[in-house]
Amino acid sequence: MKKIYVPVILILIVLLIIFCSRNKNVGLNKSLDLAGKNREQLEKILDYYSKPQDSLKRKAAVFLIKNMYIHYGFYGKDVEQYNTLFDILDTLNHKQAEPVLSHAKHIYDSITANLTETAFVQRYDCQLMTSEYLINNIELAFKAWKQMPWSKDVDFDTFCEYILPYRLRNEKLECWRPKFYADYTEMAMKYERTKEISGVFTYMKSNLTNYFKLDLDLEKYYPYDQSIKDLTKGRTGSCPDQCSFIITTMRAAGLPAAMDFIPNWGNLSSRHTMIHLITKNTSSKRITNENLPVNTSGIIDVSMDYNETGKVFQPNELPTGLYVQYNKTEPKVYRHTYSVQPEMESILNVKDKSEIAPEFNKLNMKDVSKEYLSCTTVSVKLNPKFLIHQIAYLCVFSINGWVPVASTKIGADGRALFKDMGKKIVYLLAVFENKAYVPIQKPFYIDRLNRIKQLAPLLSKKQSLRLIRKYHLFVYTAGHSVKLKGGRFEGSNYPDFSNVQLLYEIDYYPFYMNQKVINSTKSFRYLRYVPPMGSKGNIAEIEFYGIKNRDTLLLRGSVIGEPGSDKQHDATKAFDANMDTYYENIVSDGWVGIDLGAGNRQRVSKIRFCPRNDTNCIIPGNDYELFYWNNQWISLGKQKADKDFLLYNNAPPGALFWLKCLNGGREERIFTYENGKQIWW
Amino acid sequence: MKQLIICLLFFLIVLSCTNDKNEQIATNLENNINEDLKALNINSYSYVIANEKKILRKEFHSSESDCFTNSEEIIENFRAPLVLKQMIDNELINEDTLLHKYIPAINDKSLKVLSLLKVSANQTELNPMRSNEITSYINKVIKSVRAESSQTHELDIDNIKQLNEKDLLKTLAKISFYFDSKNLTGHMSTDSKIPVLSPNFYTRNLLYFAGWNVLKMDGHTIFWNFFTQAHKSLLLIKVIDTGIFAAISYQSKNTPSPFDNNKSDLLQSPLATTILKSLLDTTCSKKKLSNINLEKQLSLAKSSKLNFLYMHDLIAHAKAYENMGEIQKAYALYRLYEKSFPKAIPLKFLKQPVLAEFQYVPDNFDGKKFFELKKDTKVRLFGSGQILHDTNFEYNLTTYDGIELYLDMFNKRSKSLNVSDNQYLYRFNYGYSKVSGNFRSNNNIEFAIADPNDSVYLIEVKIPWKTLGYSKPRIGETIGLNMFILDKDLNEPWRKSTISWSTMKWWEANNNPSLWGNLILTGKPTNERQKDAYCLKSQHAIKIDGHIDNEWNKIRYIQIDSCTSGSITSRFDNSGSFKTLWDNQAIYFLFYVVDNVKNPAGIVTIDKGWIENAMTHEVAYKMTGSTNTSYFPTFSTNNTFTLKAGKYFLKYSSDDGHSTEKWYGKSPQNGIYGVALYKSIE
Repeated sequence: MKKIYVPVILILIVLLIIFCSRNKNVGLNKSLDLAGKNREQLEKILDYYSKPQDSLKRKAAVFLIKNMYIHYGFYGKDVEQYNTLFDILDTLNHKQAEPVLSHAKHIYDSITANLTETAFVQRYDCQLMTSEYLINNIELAFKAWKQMPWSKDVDFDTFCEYILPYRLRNEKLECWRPKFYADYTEMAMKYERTKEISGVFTYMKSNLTNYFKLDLDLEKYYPYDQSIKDLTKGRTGSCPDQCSFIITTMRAAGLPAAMDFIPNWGNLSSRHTMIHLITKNTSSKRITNENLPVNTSGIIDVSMDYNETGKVFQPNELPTGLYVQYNKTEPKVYRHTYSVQPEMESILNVKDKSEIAPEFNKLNMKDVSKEYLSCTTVSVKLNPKFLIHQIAYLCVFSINGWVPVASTKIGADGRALFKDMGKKIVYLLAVFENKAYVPIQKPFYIDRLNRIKQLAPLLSKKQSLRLIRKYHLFVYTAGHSVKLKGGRFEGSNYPDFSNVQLLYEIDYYPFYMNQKVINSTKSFRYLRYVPPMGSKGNIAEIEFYGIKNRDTLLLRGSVIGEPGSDKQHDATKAFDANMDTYYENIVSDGWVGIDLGAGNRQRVSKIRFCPRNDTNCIIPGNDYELFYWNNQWISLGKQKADKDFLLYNNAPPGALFWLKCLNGGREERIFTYENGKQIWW
Repeated sequence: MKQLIICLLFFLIVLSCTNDKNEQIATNLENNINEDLKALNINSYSYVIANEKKILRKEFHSSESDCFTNSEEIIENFRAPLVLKQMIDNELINEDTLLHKYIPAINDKSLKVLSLLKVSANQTELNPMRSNEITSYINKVIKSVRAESSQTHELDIDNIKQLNEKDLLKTLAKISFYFDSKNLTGHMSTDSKIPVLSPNFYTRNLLYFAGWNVLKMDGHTIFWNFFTQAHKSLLLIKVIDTGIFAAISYQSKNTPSPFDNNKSDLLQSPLATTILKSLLDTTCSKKKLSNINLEKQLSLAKSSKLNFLYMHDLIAHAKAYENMGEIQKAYALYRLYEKSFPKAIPLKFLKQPVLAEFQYVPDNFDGKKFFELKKDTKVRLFGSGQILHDTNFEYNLTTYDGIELYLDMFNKRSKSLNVSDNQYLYRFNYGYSKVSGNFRSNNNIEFAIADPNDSVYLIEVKIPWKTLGYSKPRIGETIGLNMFILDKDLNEPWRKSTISWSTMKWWEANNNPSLWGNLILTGKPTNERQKDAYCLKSQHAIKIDGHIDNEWNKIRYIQIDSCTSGSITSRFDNSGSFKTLWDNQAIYFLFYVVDNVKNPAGIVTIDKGWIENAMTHEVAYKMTGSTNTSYFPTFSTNNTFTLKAGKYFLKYSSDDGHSTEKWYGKSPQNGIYGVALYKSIE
């Protein structure tokens, strides 16, 4: 019996080894097959590293080639015609010390106006790759990895995934590494403690963030991922462009850097891309999404504007119904990898490919939410009528529609299980059908205790809503009010404000338009606002009123005062009847005011003033429309505001609402209504 | 069968096209070399022209017995680096091992073995002009390792002593084939479908690469070397991206050498400029140079990317004709040079030895060259570089050179500066025509900036009392006073240091009148005391023009010498003094600032040349220029000044873009992108 077993076991072991090695070579074969006529170039690379002393480099080459079949770029005349745009930016960048942002929109307009839509092609790397290119890439990546002082902190797997890759997005292929190796190893070595990998990372990130400027306009004109040459020439672009540039420089210098992204913030209509250093020493700090004055920007940059020295507002310091939002909330964080991720492979391996949403049609996307967030698992039982679908998505609200942030395969038990989800965010379960997201349940949020709270409108009942805003009051905006407390309104009959009289000193935190009655008996020609010591002004509107024939009269005069910090913030901005613009002074005690003119002295009866703000309050004269969600957005009617709040008496309790301003603006957010207060999500 | 024949025909057509390209280049190059040899009256010569794999053209016009007695030395110059490279690749030797381990005599202890293959521009110990020395170092390293490994190399060539010219040139071509077959540079083929961001990356900041001197021009990397023995010369050129290798040995005592005038400049050789014109200029590469109208060509060349090549081609040939005694021909070319390139370096300088220079600076360059002056010497510096306009400079004026003058008119000595309390800041920046700061008014303020010499600027200021909110100044009155001198040096756009009249930290004192000193109005000259300065009543009105009126000479300068931020290496780096006068209309200040590097406001020199004292490392001179020229972003310098006896480094650094490697705007018209320092001959 024993004798029979031994050969059987041996045969099984051999079969297992063959199976495993076949599986291991699946990616390699896919790439070689996809390469077609270019297969020879890929094989040449493997041959080049056939010597025993090159075994590690061969492994690296295999890693690149076996995952190469998923990578591609866009080429063709349509892509090439934008070269002029980057050439012009490049030339300008070689003529002036500051990046060309102030002219950029004008340049984009003039260049792209003459472009016509022509052909572009998607070409796979396997079909373009040359042995010369990849060998050069491997050699210099190894050189950077091995030679830099922090190399001991980077293991081979990390090296392969986050230093070795020759591309990050779907940009055109270019040989960037020799240049970047020379440029950025030099920059990294300028940091004084080169053995500290995180110190070098921070040093490079801060230097390069200054060098490469954010300009969100460019992606509206250039529909492709900027290539490394484009990024180097223009030194400007969107957040992913900036990250792509900085990560490429870091990888060239031997720093394992990854591009992580939040597909959409939980309480903001935008996404975020960030640079992450892959280190052995991971932080234990996690973001909870609780609205607290705690600085989380060390975990996710720009996740909040609050800093420890900032103002924490007490309820009695704020108008009724208003609260300050200290942070942005995060539903999910993903990482771009070079290699194929098994989780994504499993989700995307469905029969009906039309169910795959474009945002999730990526094999090299890794869920890293756990590294950033205090997460929870969401398990939702689906209505049986939706079980014909194979993939379910969790979406968050955006002004452009619900945006998917997580995907999962619907289980055989009829449940959709979403792992590692951020809390305190309103989610909507959906499927992707006919190229659109179809909601399949009521929206819900997960509370602090991981309980799912559904937001179902109680249509049989009505409640009254008093609405004071259409958007959160973020701490950054609230902070502008702090800069006005202690500010003085003064009158004088001398241009140098000698013999000055105080009309009113602001003794509270003013939000939006404020009004004060002045009981002064004297008349003045010169009127001004003097910000408190250390404040740069930050005043959006000032209105001095006098009395003429018992009527209140808005006083007008020529604008006087200290110059503004730049053209956009000069003194006229405090008197332009536009709450969007504001005056910011160039000197620490700069002031702003009006001269009523020779022979014209007025007694001030009233002052109206408004701090720099986000104009998301209810503005009298603007038109608004309130919606609630019941499987779609349903209008509760339009109103023209005549005060600084709106009243709706016909709202269903328990619903999710959206207040739209019909006069424009993009900052709008969903809210629930609890205890007479708008609660923002 | 039919298909096979078609395929074969197609293959042959493709092959012949590829060959044709090389053939055409070789034919044209050969014709131009022959024409030039004839024009230069060189009758005894040999040459080979080859591509990466084979010799395309050869000509041997010298006798069989004619040989270089130093042929072994010449061959070793190219062979030894390749042997060393193979040993590094075979891990017999680590390229990062410090060189002094093998060669204790090396002074620069930071040099690595790799430095012998790639000599960077910012070291001074290994000099490519002494390539024999580098070769001997390489051989020392090879021998010390070989003693242990006994490995041989396929380029181990026997009997290389006293080779005749034919065998020498063939051997050099063989080494060139080996160099190309191993792709020693890592050069990426331009035929690739994948573009290379920095095609010449392999010679970044290098003066020498494995036996070759490096020149970069218009996107090409040119390797070259030159050897002489008595009247015999050997010129070698290898243009990497075209794959062409040319070696010419010739007998001539009249033909200028690349190493003439203490220089290492390939464009001093007329044969070299002819070869380069044939290879790099597409208009010349298709026809004989003799068929091109020279004047027409030069007028086109003025604005071409290769204008340097044409400029130096003229000079090289003119010098050769002058040496040959063909004075008329020579002067015709010199005149053409002066007519075609009126802003170029004057001929009298081109004919004399250079103290130090970097003439054709490429991108990402960081070079230094040592020179010594035995006595105080008047020198002439020619240079060019790239300059940027700081569009935001009006918001960053504190980072530029200048004076900040703080006045507390009623001496209230409050703890914060407040304009409404008549406390003001007036800032006067070097090279800027406006007054900035924190004040109620700048009405009727006059000021003038003057440059008495290269390291001093004067600022003369008049501020009316009325502007200061002061009605009747009286003797004995005290005004709160402070002042800072702001200094920016090499590390643009950052400020290097500030100094103050009274001792305080810049960030503490600039807004705090309670810490300032006193300015007391007097009627007779009085010496200052600590924190008390005296302002003498002037008998005559002061003219604000940057010239020192007699009234100023009646009083002494008061030193401004307390470093309040950054660091100062000496008084020459940043120091100053001031005088002050008053009359019934205004108060006057005269500032005298010593600054080794005067940077005008709003200008950032991004490619810069400067002279540094080798002992103290202090900057003795820095090139600067104006953005207001038709050549912007290029600026050019032509300056005469005196350097004290001593040891110096001439330094030059460039950034990425706009250089002889690739122009973003117009190239300079003086024939130099970099810096050249001569003894003045005025």
